[in-house]
Amino acid sequence: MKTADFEKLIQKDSADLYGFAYILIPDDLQASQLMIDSLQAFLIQKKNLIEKWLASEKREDIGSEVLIYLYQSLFELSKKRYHQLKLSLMNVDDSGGFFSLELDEKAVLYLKERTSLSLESIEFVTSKNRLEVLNLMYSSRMKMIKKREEISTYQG
Amino acid sequence: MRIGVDLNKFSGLCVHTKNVLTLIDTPVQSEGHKKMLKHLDNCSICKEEWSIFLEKNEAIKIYIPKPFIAQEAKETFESEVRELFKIFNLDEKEKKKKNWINQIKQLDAFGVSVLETLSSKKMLKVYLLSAFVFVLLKRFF
Repeated sequence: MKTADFEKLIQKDSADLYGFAYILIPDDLQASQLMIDSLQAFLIQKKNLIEKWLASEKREDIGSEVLIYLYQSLFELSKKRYHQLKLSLMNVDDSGGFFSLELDEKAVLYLKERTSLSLESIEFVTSKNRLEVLNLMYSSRMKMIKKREEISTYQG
Repeated sequence: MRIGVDLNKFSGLCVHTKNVLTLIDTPVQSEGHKKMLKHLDNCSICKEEWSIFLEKNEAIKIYIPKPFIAQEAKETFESEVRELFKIFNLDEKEKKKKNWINQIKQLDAFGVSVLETLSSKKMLKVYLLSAFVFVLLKRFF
C-alpha cells in the first residue's frame, strides 16, 4: 500500500472520528483537537504496525482496522481530558439523557448504535471485557429510559 | 414492577430478566444469546419485560446523537494528517528524498574508505614490492 493511499484512508475517517470525539467531549473545538491528538498518538505508538500495513497489499482489511485503532487512541485520550473539561461541558442539550451518562457508557452505546463495530471491536476500543461492555450497554440504556420517563412524567 | 419504575430491583420478577435484556447487545450466534432466547421462550415474566424494554429502547435511540463534522474542521483535519505524515517520515516524497541522501552518504563513505586503504602504509609496501618485481621481471625477460 502506498503512503498516499494510507493518508487518504485516514482522511476519509474524519467524519467517524469526529462523531465519536464529539459524543465524548461535546465541544466542537475540543473534539477537533482530540481527533488530531489521537492521530498523533497513534502515529507515535503504532509506527511498526503502520509500516507493516504500508508493506501489505490488502487494502480493504486495513481500512476498518485503522479506524478501530484510531477509535481506541481517541478514547484513551478523551478519558484523560474528560475530567479536566467536565465543568466546561455542561451547556450541552441533553434532553435524551445521553450526555449525562458516564464516559464509558456513552462510548459503548454510541459505538453499538451509531457505528458498525462488532462487540469484539468495542471491547478492543474500550479495553474492557465482554461482561463489562454488556453491563455498560445495559446501564446506559436503562439510565436513558429512566431519564426519558422522568421527563415525560414531569411534562405530563 | 416494570422497567423504568425501579431499574435495579428485579426481585419479585425473574432472576434472569436483567440477562434477558442484554439480548439486545449480545451476538446472535453466541452461546449466552441462545441460552437467554431459550429462557425467554419459557418465561412469561421475561417475555413481558422484554417487549416493554424493546419499545422503550426504540424510543431512546433517537436521543443517541450522530454528530456531523463541519467542512472547515474536516479540511483542518486533512491538512493536519498531511503535516503529521511528513513529520513522522511517512510522506512518500520525503521518504524518497531521505533515501537518496542516505545512499549518497553511503557512497561517499565508501569512496573515502577506498582512498584511505589505497594510501595506507600497507599498500605503500605493496606498491614498492610490485615495482621491484616489475623491474626484476623486465630485466630478465
